[in-house]
Amino acid sequence: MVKLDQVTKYYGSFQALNGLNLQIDKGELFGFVGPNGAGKTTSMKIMAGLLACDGGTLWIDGEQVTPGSGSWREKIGYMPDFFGVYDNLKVMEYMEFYASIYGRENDRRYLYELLDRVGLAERGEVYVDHLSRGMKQRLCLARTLIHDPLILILDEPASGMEPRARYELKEILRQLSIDGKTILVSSHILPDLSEMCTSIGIIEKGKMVVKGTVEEILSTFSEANPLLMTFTGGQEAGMRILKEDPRTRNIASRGSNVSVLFNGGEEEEADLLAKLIAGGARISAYRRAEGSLEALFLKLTDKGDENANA
Amino acid sequence: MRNYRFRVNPVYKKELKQSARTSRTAIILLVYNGLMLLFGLFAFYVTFEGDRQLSVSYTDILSVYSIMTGIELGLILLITPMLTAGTIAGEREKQTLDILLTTRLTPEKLISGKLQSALSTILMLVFSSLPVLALVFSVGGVTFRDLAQFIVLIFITSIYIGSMGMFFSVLCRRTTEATIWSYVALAIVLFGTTAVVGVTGILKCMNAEQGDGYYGVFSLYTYYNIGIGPVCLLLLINPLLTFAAMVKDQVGGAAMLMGCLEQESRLGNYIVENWLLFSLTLQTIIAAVLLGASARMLRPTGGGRKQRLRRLTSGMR
Ligand SMILES: Nc1ncnc2c1ncn2[C@@H]1O[C@H](COP(=O)(O)OP(=O)(O)OP(=O)(O)O)[C@@H](O)[C@H]1O
Ligand SMILES: [Mg+2]
Repeated sequence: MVKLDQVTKYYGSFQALNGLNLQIDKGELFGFVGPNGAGKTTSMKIMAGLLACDGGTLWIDGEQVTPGSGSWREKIGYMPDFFGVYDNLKVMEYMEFYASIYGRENDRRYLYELLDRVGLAERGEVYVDHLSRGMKQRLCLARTLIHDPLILILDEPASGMEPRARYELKEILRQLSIDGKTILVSSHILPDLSEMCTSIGIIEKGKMVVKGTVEEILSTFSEANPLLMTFTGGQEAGMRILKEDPRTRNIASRGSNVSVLFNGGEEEEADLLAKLIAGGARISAYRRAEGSLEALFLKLTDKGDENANA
Repeated sequence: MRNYRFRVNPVYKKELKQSARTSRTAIILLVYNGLMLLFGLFAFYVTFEGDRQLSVSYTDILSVYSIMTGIELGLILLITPMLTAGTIAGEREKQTLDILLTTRLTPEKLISGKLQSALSTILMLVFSSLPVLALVFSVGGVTFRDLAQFIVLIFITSIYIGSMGMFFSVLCRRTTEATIWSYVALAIVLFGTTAVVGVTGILKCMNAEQGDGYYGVFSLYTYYNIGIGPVCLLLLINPLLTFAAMVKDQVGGAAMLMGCLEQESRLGNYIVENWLLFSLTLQTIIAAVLLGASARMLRPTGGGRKQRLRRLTSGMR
């Protein structure tokens, strides 16, 4: 549905995108993650037709496209990361304005349905600049739906939302995905993404580092997860052994619970446990942490940084 | 089935709705008409009280007409950059522009909607001041045709100056920046052109041989024939000269100025006699070019001002 092939983008001499590849299939809910400045907004703007790329190609719905040409933008609903609303306009009028661009301003029932979808049906007569930030974001989402686009490109739609609003947004996006929309959503809130997305891409320094379904990614990179152990005795000796082992990093303890990043497979894990016990430690629990996208994200985007906080 | 009925520009419609809810338009209206009335009374006073005669002479009325319309033009010239410079830059500042540019709305539609809303404010000002102008008609001497011609002139002038405001509004990031540049452009058009012609005249004078009977710079202020030459054509883009030409055509005012122009430009009297037509046509063309350029710079390629300018200059496709 959306495909970026070797896309590059320069801001002056600064390279924001460095041969970015991305493919999103029809009906996918694709989560786009990356540290600040990785190039998420830049690539989303390119997909929305707001920016021209300096190299590479872009396909939308099977067609190769160039910014500023053709009607492919009709297929896209774009929600920017930062946006404003107009003064002196009510919620319904705000919707009517964008609808009038598509000649649908008189279809009030339709606009009401869209507002209802994002939970703003009761607010039609409120001035848009009196809405809270989260409501504005939901309003903007309703706005992107006006022309019934095939693809939604949402740049951090949940930023600044409280947990409940985020939960509701997740539900809305899930429903839209079920309704057949292809959705690309960027976020810094990884648990949200891992819960709702069908697949995820991690971008760093303008390049895609990894992509796939959440399960795929987690199982490939399970070594990124810390080892968790609980001591019932000999903790000091155990800690010394852990510190001396060259394969460990970031040892953290809270009471008798210790977590440590360990570079090794199952055999090495067993070796380590044997070593600990031989060294006098008594251990009541010992296991790899459950796959956490957070840990993986930190590992992938923070290469070489020994102080990374797992 | 597509509906081919005439549709109001969505941007224009939205702006109308918004401005109806602010007091901005009302304040502009009040200040504008207040000034018109003030100047109008002043013009009457100066013209009629000055000579302390009870009889009203025909030429006095005509000079009141010239003064009043001149003031109206001056006010419109001052207001237009303010009404247009913030249009696109304001959307950019409010972070609403990107959304608009990803919709079906074309940059041309956006530009024309914004221009329409500025023009409708200006037309409202012009029509609201008609009662004040009617003071002149109450005494007679000016036809309705003259007045219609004046309104056309105001209309074209505001498109012309407005297109400069729009251009800078697209080019600049901030409204203040765009406003400053629009007024700079206005000053260049009004005074820069005049200065170029004047300086050319001065240089010609200074270079004139003594035997010609001129005495340096001072001869400029006498109506001697210096022969400034075709550089006078620059004045075609100056709305003040356009207005002077209209006043001369209508009531015979500014005759000396236009006569001087005819003599100095050495262009033959065809151009000067049809100055009004030529300058309005040229100004319309300039406006069309500037508006086209504005739309082109808005095409979704993003980037800063440099990229917008590059977009304008590279490959006119
Ligand atoms: N208009 C611009 N001019 C110059 N550099 C820019 C511009 N926009 C973005 N950049 C740079 O390009 C890089 C990528 O920015 P981008 O906004 O795409 O990152 P992002 O992944 O969206 O980050 P965030 O998570 O903070 O939203 C950054 O280093 C940024 O400084
Ligand atoms: Mg961003």
